[in-house]
Parts: sequence; structure tokens; C-alpha cells
Amino acid sequence: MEGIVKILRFNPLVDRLPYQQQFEYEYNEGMTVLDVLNYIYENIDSTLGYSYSCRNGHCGLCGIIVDGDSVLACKKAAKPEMMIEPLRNLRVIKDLIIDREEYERRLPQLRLFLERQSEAVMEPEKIDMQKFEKFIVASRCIECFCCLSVCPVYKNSPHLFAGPMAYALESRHFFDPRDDLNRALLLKSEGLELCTECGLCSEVCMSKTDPAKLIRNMKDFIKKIL
Amino acid sequence: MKRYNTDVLIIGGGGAGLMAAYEATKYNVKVALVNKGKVQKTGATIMAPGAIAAVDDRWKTAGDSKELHIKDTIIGGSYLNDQNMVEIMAKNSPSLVIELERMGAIFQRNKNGDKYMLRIGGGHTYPRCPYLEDRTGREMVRTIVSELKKRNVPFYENIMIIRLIKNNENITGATGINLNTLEICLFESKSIIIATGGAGSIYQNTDNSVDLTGDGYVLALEAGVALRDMEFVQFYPIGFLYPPSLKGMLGGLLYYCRLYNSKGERFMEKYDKERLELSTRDRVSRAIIQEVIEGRGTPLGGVYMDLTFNEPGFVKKMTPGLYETYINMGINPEKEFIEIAPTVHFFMGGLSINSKWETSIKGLYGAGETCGGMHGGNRLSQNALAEILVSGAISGRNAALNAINIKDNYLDPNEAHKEEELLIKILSVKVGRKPIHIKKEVKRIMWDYVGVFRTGKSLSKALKEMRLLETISVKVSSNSMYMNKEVIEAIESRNMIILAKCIILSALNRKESRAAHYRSDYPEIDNIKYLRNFYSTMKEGEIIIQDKKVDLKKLIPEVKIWKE
Repeated sequence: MEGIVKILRFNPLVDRLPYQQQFEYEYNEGMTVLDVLNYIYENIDSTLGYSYSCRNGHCGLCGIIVDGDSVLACKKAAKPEMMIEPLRNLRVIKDLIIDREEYERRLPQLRLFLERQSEAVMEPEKIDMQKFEKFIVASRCIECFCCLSVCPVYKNSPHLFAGPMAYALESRHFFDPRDDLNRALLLKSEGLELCTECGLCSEVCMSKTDPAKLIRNMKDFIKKIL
Repeated sequence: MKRYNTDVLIIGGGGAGLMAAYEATKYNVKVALVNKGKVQKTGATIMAPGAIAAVDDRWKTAGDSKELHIKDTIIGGSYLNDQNMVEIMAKNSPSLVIELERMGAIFQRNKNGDKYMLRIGGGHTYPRCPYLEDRTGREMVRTIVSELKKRNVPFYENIMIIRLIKNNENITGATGINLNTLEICLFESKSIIIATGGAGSIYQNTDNSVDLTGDGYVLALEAGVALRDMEFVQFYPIGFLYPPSLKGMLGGLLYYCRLYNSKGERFMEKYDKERLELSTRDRVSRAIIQEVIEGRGTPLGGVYMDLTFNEPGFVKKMTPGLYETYINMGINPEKEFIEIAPTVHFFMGGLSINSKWETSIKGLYGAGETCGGMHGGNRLSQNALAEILVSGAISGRNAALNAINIKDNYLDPNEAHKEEELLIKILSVKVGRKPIHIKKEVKRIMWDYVGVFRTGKSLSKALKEMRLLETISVKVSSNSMYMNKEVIEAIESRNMIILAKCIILSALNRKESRAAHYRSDYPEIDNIKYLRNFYSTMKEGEIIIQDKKVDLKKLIPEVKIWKE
């Protein structure tokens, strides 16, 4: 059957404002939104800007908004009628491609690497398995930026609040039983306390990282040690 | 134009390139990494669900040994491996697993948290492979990237390297194009490591990411390096056929499924009565295609995978990621069959290198899947991640040591002219076909004629069509310099054709069936004639094939192996 998709387009070097463009395609059950974008690129308009690499939820490059929801294009089933936009709260480079670097520039100050005082006494070293369970979950984040797109606090306070993705990445080290850095202080300085625990980030998380829970766990943990 | 200067330049930001960069930073040299896409977002490593083959006294299974790992790998490779490389991998991979943990990784442990859990894979005698969930590769990449950020190694992302520059037989640098702005980039570097991975994207069905178009093979080839064993392409039997964006993605595990043809026959009974679906990957792949050829295939050109016999909840529990994908596709795996066909998974062939992972050009190294030799004619599962660590570390060290000994290295900025001309040429074509359509043609030809089954006739046909395709003009839709993805696709499509020709010509020369290479017109293995490797080189734009006997220094084939 015939499918109709509206795409919000914007080339910052040419357009004054974003605009909607409508495309028609052959809709078949089971096809993904990425299939629709590929179809348009291959057959109708090869200037359409969108990004993807792995095609199956590993790379996190194809985050977009479909009918208002932040999703991965490769994981989202297409519908005969859809509206597609770029993720929110981030600068658009072209059409559906957002500026990842703008956000990534803030990550170095989170010291996203293992910091320890002493070396392991034996190798492989003994690991506290309770903490390891949280470390595993935090490690699942594929940095697709969907959580940033829905976070109301990041939207309002991008300079004071690092955003759910940054906190999820930080929690990997926070829960690393070997890490000695005072990450509680670091998180305070990065605005963790401003999180209102609305849970929207976890609702859109496709990699089962559950940032809201990680944030809550870190907050609880910090309360206990203070 | 932008000009960069470094001592060691790594091309490719997957596991092998990152590991090479990490190792090189230990030797007081400047290290930089350039990647066609975003690091941690492209390449095959981040998709690797498997484990890292590594036998060590501290965690090995009783009875296992490094010697046995070497033997398994060489038998798996059908004796075409570079046995020195295999030995170096088995020896070094365990200490590098530990080194990853020092950098920040944690691999799966027992309840006490003091011993690794180990996985086994096809062809391995014992469980010997540490892992993390079903995303070991992702964990490796994340860990090394964090350490490289700490060490302030620059990542030049979204830049495709177009050409290597030499002075006599020494490497001196490379030119590249920025994908977002089409700006020419000039890289001065005393050593260069090519770590650009495989090239699954030259086949219609593949589980590789779209960026894997074989650029590194062609860079090396055009600089004068030989590619070895290019006829060996590994197929995994179960890839999705639908929807298009999932085509070729890993669709299920052989352990949990039964395969049926369109007549409802469990056809593996004919091909391997004992092991059925658990036969070797290459046999199952051939059986599926045989069924399709003989008219018992499904509408989409594959066979049916049946998961319905498993008890309720089993599929979801054992393969949660796949289950989610089935549901997304609108298929209930507990009730319906799924159409599948073999898919391209890995390239055993690649750059010809020595035991320092150095090519025939001084200062030019390879790392990871882009190198040939380690896996011979077929790769064992879990050996890819081990190869990433070992080849990365060794090439990184040697590239750094080479750079230390070179005093000055400056390039003439006029080197950028060639790439400027290339861009003007691509942007000015008035009549021609879209780059994506050329790519699709390459994929189709490779799939139809250079797939699981090959014959002299099919290969000659492929070569003829590839040569015709080469002459067709490629036209991009827009001449904009900003975010013009088609320009890069035009360059990629040319690389794909060159690489395809190397594969076809090597396959034409190997008139036997061995490991991943199957010639229907020569279905037997021939140890008298073909215990040798084929090398592709480029002379005046033409691919030339030469061969050399395998050095069987450690392990010599026993006759009984060939009678299975």
C-alpha cells in the first residue's frame, strides 16, 4: 500500500527556517523507518541528510523523532503515515543529522575512565559482584542521544545539567568497584541534583540502560555516604 | 586544505585501530587516529557479540593449552594460515585481556567475582574465551576509547583517507577528504597503520555495517602492498532476508533452530545426517543455497528457520536481542517460520604483513581484519577479537619504534592537488548513474556469482560485469560541498569494484574447494597443488595474481583430516 512520510528538512547553509517535505513510498508490513529513509535516499532524493551505520541497534547513530517519539530508525516499525524530525535539544547539521560534537565537548570533564590509587594485587582481580551488576547495566549505553532529546531539565538548563546520557556514562565509573575518584563531588558539580526524576529518559532508552534508575541509584548512594 | 602532523597515524577507529593507538602512546611519539565515521559508532567491533579467545594458566579449562589453541586455529584455517602469526596471537592475547581490565573493562566472572566465565565457539576444543554479556566488542571499544581520551590522542572523525604517500619505499603520509565539508586533509606521519576492517558491504547480504567498503585494502593495494587469500570470505548461515535494512543481519543461532525448505523437508538430513543444523557454518550455508538453486527455496530466496518447537519463553530468554527484532518485524517466533539465507560475516584475506605486522612498505602496518594470514581459509569464532588485541598491540609498538628513528618528515602541500582534481571530477559529471546504484550492482554481482558456490564460469561472468561497471560514469545529485554523502559513496563504489576484482581473480586461480572457498567445478580439496596462498598486487591499474607455498613450520596436515 502507499505510504506517506513527512520529513522536517533544514540545511543551515541554505534555508532560513526548517520546512516539511512530503515523500511517497511503497509501504510493506515489517519495514523499519530506516528502510523508508533508505528508499527516499536511493530513489527520490539523494540529498536527504540522515545517519546510520550498523542497521540493528548497536551504533546509536540513527536516533530521530517519529510522530513525536525519540526512537532509533533501525528499530522502529514504519507506519503508512509518519512525521519524522531530528532529535530535539541539539543543533541540526542537516535535515535529520544532529551535532554530536557540541554535546561530546562536555564529556572530558566527566573523567570517563578508570581512576585508581593502587594496582590490582592479583589478576584477574576479584570484583564485588553486586556493584558489577550496576556497572554492566551502565555499560549498555550506545550514546544515541534519544534521552537528551526528551529531558526537560537538559532542555532548560543545558549549561548547568549534563543530561541523562552523561550521567549514565558516569555511572559506569561510579559503580566500578575499582574506581577511587570522588565521583560524588564530580556529579554534584555537573548538576546531578537538578534531575527531577521524571523518568522520560528511561522510557525512550532502547539499549536497556535505564538512565533514570542509574541516576536514582547514584543519588541514593551519595545521600548515604554524605 | 587542512594539514596535520603526527608520528604515528592510525586509519580506522574499530578495536584494532584503537588498540594500536593505545600501544603506540607508550613510546614517546605523537599518535593520532583518523576514521571515516564517528569512533564508537562505525566499524564491526562494536557489533561483536562474541568473546575473546585467550588461553592462560590463570583461568584455563583443565586440559587446554596455548598449543591447542594454535592447533584449532590452523585446522580451522585449513592450513593456509601464517603459523607465526597464529603463534603470536595465542601467546599474547591473554595478557592483553588483562590489560583491557587495567584500562577499565570488566569481563564476566563467577559468583565469587574472582574467576572468568569462559565461552566456547565452533572449532575450539575447550571453553577459553572471556566475554561481557552479548556485547564484548562494545566493551572493548568503550574501554580503549576512554583511555585514549585520557591520553589526549586526537580523533580526526568523518575523514576518509584517499591515498597513501611514499618517498621511495618509505611511508610519509596520506591524503583524505572531510565528509562534512569536502575539505582536503593532508596527514604527515612517519608511520601509518591501516585498521579499516573488512568489506562485507560489497555483498548483497551481510551483517557488517554500511561503512565497511574495503577502503583500506585498496589504499594498500594502490600503494604497492600485496593482498593475500582474498578468495576466502566467511558466510554465516542465518541472515535475515527482510526487511531491506535488516537484510543479512544475524537472524538466529544454529543451536536453537531447525531449517526447512519450501517442501517442508528438514533438508540438513541430506547434507549432514549426524549433526544436522549443527554442522559447520560453511556446510549449512552451502546446503541452504543448494536447496534454493534446486527450486526448494522460499519466495525471498532462502529457507525457513523454525523456532516454534522450543518451549514457550525459550527464544526470549536465550536470545533477547533477536526476540525483540522478530517482534519488531511483526513475527512471532513461537508461531511463525522466518525466512533466512547465508550472509557475509568476515574476510579472512587482507594485507600481506610480516610478524611485526609491517607491510612491504617501510613504516606502513596493518591491524585487525584488514590483514590476511591469521585465519588462513576460515576463521574460528572468538579469534577475531583476539586478533584485534594482538595485531593492534604489535603493529602499534612497531609503528612507534619505526617513527622514533625518523628525524623529520614534511609533505609538499601540492600533494593535495590530486584530491582536489578528484573532487572536481566527481562533482562535474553530467550524465551517469547514482553511486548507490553502482554499489548495488557490485553487491548483486558478488552475491550471484562470487557467493557460497563459485564456478569458473560464474567467476568469469562476474569479472566481465565488474569490468563493465568500472567504465560507467558516476553522477552525484548535487554539487554542494556541504554534507554531500554521495561524493564519498562515489569513492567507495570505486574501492568496492577494485576489491571485488581481487576476490574474483583469486577465486578463479584456486581450482579446488577448501575452507570458505567452494568451487562446484572443483569440489575436492587438493593438498598437492593448493597448499599455497594467492597474492593480489596492482600493476598499472591491473590486478595481478601470484602464489607462494605455505610455510608449514609447526603443523602439517594429516591426511585423515581431509576425509571427514
